[in-house]
Amino acid sequence: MTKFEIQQVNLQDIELSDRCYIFTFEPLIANMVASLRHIGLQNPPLLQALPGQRLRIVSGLRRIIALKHLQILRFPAKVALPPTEKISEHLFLINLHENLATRRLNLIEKATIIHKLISEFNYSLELVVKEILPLLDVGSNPKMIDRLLPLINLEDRLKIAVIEESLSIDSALDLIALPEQERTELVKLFLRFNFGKNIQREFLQLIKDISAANGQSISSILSRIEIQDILNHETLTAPVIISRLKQQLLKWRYPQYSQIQSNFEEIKRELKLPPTISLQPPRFFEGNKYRLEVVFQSQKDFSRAIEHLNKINQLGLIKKLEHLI
Amino acid sequence: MYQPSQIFVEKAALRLPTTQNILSRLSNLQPFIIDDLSQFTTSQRLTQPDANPNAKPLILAVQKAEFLKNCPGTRRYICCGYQILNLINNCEINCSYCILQGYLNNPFIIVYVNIEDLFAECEAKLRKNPDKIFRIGTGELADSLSTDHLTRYSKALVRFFNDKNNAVIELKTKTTLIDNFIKEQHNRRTVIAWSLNTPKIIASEESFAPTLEQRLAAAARCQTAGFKLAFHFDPMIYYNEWEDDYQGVVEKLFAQIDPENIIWISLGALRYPPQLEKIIRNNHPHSSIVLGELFPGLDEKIRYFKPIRIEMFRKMYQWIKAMAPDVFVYLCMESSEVWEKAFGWTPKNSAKLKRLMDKLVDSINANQKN
Repeated sequence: MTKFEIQQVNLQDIELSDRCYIFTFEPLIANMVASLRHIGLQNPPLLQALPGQRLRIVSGLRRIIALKHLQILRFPAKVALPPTEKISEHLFLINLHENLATRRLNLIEKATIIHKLISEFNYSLELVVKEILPLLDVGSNPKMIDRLLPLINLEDRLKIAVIEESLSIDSALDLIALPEQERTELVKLFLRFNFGKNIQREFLQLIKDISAANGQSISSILSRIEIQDILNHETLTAPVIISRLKQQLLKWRYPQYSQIQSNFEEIKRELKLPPTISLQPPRFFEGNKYRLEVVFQSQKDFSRAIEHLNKINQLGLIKKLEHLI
Repeated sequence: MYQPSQIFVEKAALRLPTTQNILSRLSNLQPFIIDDLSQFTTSQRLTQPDANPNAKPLILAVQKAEFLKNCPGTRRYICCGYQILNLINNCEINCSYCILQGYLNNPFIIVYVNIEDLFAECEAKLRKNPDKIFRIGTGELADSLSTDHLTRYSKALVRFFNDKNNAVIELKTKTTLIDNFIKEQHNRRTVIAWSLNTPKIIASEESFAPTLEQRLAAAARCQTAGFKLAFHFDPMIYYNEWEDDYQGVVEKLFAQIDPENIIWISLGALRYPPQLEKIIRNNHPHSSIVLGELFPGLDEKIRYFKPIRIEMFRKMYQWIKAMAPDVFVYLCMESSEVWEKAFGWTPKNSAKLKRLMDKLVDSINANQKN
């Protein structure tokens, strides 16, 4: 039976590298340091007594790191007794519920909790789905476990990007499968131009497909002159850069389609259509019918549009469109 | 060759002779009895790829719906008016492009064992419509022959269609399992058809299928036994060396097969429902088929960009016609425009294509009368 005692403990007796119970992933402790400096330790950390007067952290990792930072080497803690090396599910759950009651857990922490429950405490998938997922506020779809678990294998800076929502889970999961260098280059790019989540996904799929189709690494695609020219352009805004990068990837991914699309745009330019007349090609050029739309408000507008269409008709440009597809 | 890892038998199927015959050929397996097929398969849905597709569990069940149905074809493209016999569901060959991965979300091969009901139903439908030509296949939801070493259905089907003047049965396969029926009297009412592809695509996308040479050797044996043959270049896959490779397949085909014995050849380019792309990427991570220039078509199925399809079909048509000017070549699920641009002619609509193909069946009758 575990009992708890408030004791004065020495920092040097705490096994800081023993993270059996720890799922906290909040590398920034500046706020905690400031708080301890101003009001001191209000809530003692929870520790487990190990044989040989050593101590294992159950909860309060950030507080202990902040105390260390402040050179406070002796402080009160709640210690679970009697001493044992054995990991306790009960203590893990105390840590979990204490955290759930006081703050919002981030996705990396949720992934770590699930991982620990399955690997350290032999929770079945069914039990995790039934009891843990709702607690973690991630729904009750078992597929969520498959989505979350791989996140714990990300490097710390990618974990941070996921937490800060500058990298979507889907993109993170896609990135995990890539070699580290390619992953680093892509994340740098995403963060530098502040890619939105959807465009990250689209960009990743495009560049992975181009890489697979051409047998070239993602790094070598990113170093192609067309990409570098866009990236190094001094006057373009981030959204324009992202749009141009995507257009370039689409050209490489769908070369024949892009060519026809560009021929269509060329003909459309030759048609010099006024804003009141719009021309749409068949979707993906699969059908064989174009759509022409005329917007008018008055007889005058209408006549002007007809006049323009007559002019186009005489130029033979419609034949060009016919032959395009 | 397919060897199931487990066998399940629906209660209602247990006493049927076909069940007993199949069980006797799988005496190493202990059958599990299940109450009802649909309840059982619903409870066993599969989200992960099979560990070993070539050992998919087998279910013997009773077909409660009609066996014979119109091929669903696809909307807004020309289809041939084929009919399908729903006798076996699913396949173990594990082709990366197989649409069954998307349609059948369970890991089982289902064999319907009440084949006597199938014959009774076909007999009645064929008699009721004596002027209608039935082109019937078993290869839409399964490979027609890949489970034949267990079912021996080919023999029964060849025998049944032997005396049917208004129907042919097409057994469509990638396998070489022809021994069960090759000595049967067939009266040219059975068409043995092979799906063909280039050696590169066979090696990379059709994991458990015989090679091109093995398929053509089996076709040549069927030719010697007097069967009508058909070949389906479907799905054609576009890749860098596709021209040389597909032309090579056409040459190999006609080096062994006399065009006179071919009733039809179909061409179809890779196409699949949108939801299949994710499944292909998950189940076949090394496959490159999804890397083509593929877009939603008029029926929302994903297809190659139209000019690519036209180019592939046009060239294949030329290569085939150069070696076999009289053989009938058709496109599966294509638009009239693509027919016209690729072949230089078009049946214009599904009804006309059906009539043309029915005539080919009629010509079997005429040749036999002569």
